[in-house]
Amino acid sequence: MQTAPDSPSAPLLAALEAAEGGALAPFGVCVAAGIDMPLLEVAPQHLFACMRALRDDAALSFEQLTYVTATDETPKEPRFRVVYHLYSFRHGWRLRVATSVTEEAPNVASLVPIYPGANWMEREVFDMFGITFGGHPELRRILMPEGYMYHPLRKEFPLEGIAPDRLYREWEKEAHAEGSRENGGAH
Amino acid sequence: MGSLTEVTNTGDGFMATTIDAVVNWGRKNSLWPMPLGLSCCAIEMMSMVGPRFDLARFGAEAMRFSPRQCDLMIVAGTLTWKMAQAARTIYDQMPEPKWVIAMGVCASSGGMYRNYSVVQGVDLLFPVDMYVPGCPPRPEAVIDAVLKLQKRIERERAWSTGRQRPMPANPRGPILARS
Repeated sequence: MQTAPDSPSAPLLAALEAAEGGALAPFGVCVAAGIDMPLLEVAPQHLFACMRALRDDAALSFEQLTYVTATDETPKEPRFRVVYHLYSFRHGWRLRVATSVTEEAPNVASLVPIYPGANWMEREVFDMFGITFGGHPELRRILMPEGYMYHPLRKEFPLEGIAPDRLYREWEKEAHAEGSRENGGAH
Repeated sequence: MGSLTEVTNTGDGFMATTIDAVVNWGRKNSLWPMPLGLSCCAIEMMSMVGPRFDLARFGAEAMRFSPRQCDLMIVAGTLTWKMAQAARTIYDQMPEPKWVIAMGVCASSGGMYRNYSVVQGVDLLFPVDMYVPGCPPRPEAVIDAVLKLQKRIERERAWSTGRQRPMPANPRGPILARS
């Protein structure tokens, strides 16, 4: 961690360094200074416990989960990075937490028990990337229509989009039923 | 068919005309729009109904927010796939005869949103009578579309069985295949 002592993130980096030997010790975290805010890398199996420690440790106390997103790092392995942004009201610190998951098992623990605000943001990540969140109370699509078969922010998805076909199948059925009614000519 | 201008006045206190002409005259001069305001085009649509542009001059000022009372759907704005099912349901709930104006480029063709979330033209979901270009179109442009639609209604058959216009074919596969 090479950072100027007068950098605004210097106190946070010092606190994280101290926590690496204390509250965060079991999780094998890796801290970097980052460009805009410090970055903390953690393995997916330790994410849940690590987040709880970040929230509950008095020296850190990241009370708010600002944002959850993900990136598709194709062709790198592991493929996906799930990124969390934390904010500490007590200290005025911002922290980025990232964890990497593979394409074969795109699964991390849901943070809803720790941060209830993670609910919709994790649904969005699931919708856009197909990353599942174990223990999420209602993991279904939030932005794309129900039954859509693709995850639009994955790199292999075409830029111009793919029209959902489930809606059309339903409408096709409707049109078929309507056609037979019209042929009956009862109305 | 024909219009009331083709009325034969015999001078004996009665007139002869056609049923089509009378019914279409009533329909075209009392369009009740269903404002499907989805984004910024809806603001222009409001000013179109307001006093400066005053759609009431052409008998189409009775905006109703229940599709069952409407016969002209103005799709004003960007239609997403998430909203598509609702838009189609609203269209289906409108009684026949019904007409659709696609207001703005987003409703007409997807506009600048060539991506996964936006319907690439509402004519994928239901037949459209008038396309109004612009982002958003001026209120005069939409009024022009209403006037052109009135001219078209004048020439329609007043009574017909079933749908007057075929529903769009099922566009399977990528949206790209449409262009």
